[in-house]
Amino acid sequence: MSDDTKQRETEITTPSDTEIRIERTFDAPRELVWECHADPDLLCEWLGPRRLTMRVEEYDFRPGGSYRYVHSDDEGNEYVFFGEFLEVAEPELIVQAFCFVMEPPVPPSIDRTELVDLGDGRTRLVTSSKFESKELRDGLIQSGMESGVVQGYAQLDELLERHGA
Amino acid sequence: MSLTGLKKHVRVLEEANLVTTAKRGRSRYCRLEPKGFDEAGFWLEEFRRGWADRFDRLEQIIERRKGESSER
Repeated sequence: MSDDTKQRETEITTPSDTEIRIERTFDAPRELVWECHADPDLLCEWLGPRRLTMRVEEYDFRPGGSYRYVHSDDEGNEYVFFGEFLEVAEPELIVQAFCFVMEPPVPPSIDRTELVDLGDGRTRLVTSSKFESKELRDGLIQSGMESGVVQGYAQLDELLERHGA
Repeated sequence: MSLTGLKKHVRVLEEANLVTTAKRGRSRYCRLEPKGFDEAGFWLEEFRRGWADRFDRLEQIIERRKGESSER
């Protein structure tokens, strides 16, 4: 594997029963990666799953500030996410209580986004989500809310094919 | 590891559908369930792909902005 491919690799781990951690290195200074989290217009361009349109209704990017955004598809289905920023320490740390609109409501996860300056012009982005229980964590992983299921069943089909289903 | 400890571990694996056990005479036989492993791996891999996809787009924005700032 070349260095370039390795750099782009998105790694996922489950450090405990109630956590998910996702990491990726970007060939850019930390300030630039930070900007893409701080500016809601930029956030809209990458955070939503593919095929869904993201619209930010509120984005008060500071400790104690709240946010709310909506992902919607062509058929009018909407997925609403909201929460509160607990820590915003430019340019290295964002901690938020993250929720989505759900019936019955589920407790928020605590999401930590760390931007690590690798010292050579690159930045390691480490995001971890901590859930109240293993069931909530696994529920989110399996809901498809965050993954390829919502992005389009075509991708899921491909994967199923590879798994020989 | 004590027998009680071992039983506990096996029970957890059983609940996660990663092993099945069957009692034969005085012994209990454990069997790995590849389907269980696949299911957990499948969803985690789907989840990872969702994020890999987002990060690809984030990277595109970063590259675009790097270009913009060098033009200034």
